[in-house]
Amino acid sequence: MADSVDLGKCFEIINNLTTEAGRLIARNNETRQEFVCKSGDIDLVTQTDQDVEKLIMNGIRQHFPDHKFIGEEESSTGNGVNKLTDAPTWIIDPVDGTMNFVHAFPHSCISVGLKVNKVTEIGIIYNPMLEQRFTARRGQGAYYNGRRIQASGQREIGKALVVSEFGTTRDEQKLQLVNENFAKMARKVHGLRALGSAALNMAMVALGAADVNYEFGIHAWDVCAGDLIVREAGGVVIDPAGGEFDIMSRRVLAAATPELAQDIAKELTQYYPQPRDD
Amino acid sequence: MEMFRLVRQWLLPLKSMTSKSNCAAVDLDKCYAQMNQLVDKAAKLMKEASTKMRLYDTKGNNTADLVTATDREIEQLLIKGLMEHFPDHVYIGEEGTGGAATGRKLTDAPTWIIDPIDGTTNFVHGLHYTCISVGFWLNKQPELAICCNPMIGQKFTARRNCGAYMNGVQIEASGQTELEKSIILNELNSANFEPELMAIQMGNSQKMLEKAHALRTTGSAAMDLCLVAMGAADGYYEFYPHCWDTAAGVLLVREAGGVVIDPAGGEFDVMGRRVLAAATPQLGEQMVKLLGDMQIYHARDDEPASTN
Repeated sequence: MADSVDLGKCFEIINNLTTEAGRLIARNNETRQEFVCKSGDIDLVTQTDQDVEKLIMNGIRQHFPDHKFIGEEESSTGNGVNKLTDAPTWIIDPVDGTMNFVHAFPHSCISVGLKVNKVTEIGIIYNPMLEQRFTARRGQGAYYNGRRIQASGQREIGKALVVSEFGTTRDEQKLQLVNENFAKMARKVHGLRALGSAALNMAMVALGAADVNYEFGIHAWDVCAGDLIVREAGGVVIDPAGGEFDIMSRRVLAAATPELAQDIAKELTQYYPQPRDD
Repeated sequence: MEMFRLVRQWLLPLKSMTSKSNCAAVDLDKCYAQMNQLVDKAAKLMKEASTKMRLYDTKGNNTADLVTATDREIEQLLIKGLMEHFPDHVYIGEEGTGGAATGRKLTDAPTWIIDPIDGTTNFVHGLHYTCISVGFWLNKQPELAICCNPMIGQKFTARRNCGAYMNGVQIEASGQTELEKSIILNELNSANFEPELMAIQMGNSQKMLEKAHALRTTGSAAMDLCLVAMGAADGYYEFYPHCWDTAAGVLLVREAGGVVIDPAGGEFDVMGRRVLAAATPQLGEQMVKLLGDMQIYHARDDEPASTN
């Protein structure tokens, strides 16, 4: 099926659409935003989220009416379960780091991945506030603003800079676990950062600016593009317990090297968010 | 409130500002001009060093040495450059270029307080939250401030009573009064890793996590203050920062309309190794209340032999 999909054309179209969507986001980031609470707690959505998702989906539909979508806002408006098929499927997070966006904290992005036969072929992560664009096509390397990038190659946990998140839930058990992992990590690694965007966290690993990213609770649309970009930059993406990465599991661990990934996996107290994305 | 601030700025004579102190009259315009020029030079140096840093990293050379060399180079550039024009001023720099970094009391004398690279770990790794921080204090209060992050091209500047700016555009703190709607910045500092201090640090994080909109950790105290000043974050607290980490940022936040106090509620003391910044006094109060008596006190910067 992959041969009947013109990946070059797909890439060109999504690249242009993300630029357009980026302008919308950057403009709206100037002022602090109105928001609604999605799944209760502090999981937010804004009008911009919805506008961007529409812009991208409509833009793609014009050229590829048969393609499928798994999008963050699609999911939240009640379509819920996302079964991944072999069909070309765009997995979209219109504004990743919505909390940051709502506060005009300039660290959020659009994240778009294209899967064909369940394999990620294209990934784009774009932060228009700071003009940081990360792109990858399977087998062709990872790029940052047109420049080829590589993960850091770091193998030692003591020299690793780790990015993670505190999460969008106030569930006490989860919070305690997050804190416990932070306390453990803080002592072992070079530094710990929490910047508020899952996709950009993965992009930082691909860039080599961070060595590890782990998180429990993310969704498929947060990590689809990042997974390809990290691997194309020479890094690894696995399950936080050490096994194979499962995009629907709500768990991710990206690292500069396999050795570092496994060492981190050994340290983490595990958490299995429910429900899964599928 | 906005109108009042604007009117106040129009009424202040902005043309030529001088101030008396124990020394001869200090020409603030001249100080600012020199400081600005030198920071721009230092920023170029920092950007260049950052590209070399990545090379060293992958070749497995000693990055700790390289970053120290860059720290020193930048501090020397700044302090020697300023000393040429202001030989009588006092210089406090993290690398000790202008005299001992700690152990000196803050006096009324014109004092430059400098961190050549704040967020050194980020700088070594190539993560963009890192900056040069230069504060100028007179009569024990901040008069001039510049924080410059050349990685993402953000330069924050302020002069007392003249507002705060990023890249020449005026910035304002967020005006947020409620902790529930706030992004709070904090750092997980290795100086607070011994079990008792770690328990306090993590305990405070947990409390903030339960109440605030979100928690963020950037790795740079000066950048944290800049983020509050520009309204991107609403509050920041830390038990650790040295005077050179906060000497500029405190003015940026205040000139942007925010507050900077001690995390236990009293007045901010730049030598105290403790800071709490907030968009509004109300938010500051809520943060202080939440922290309660879970406080950490490190050796003061004006006490001899501070080893932290």
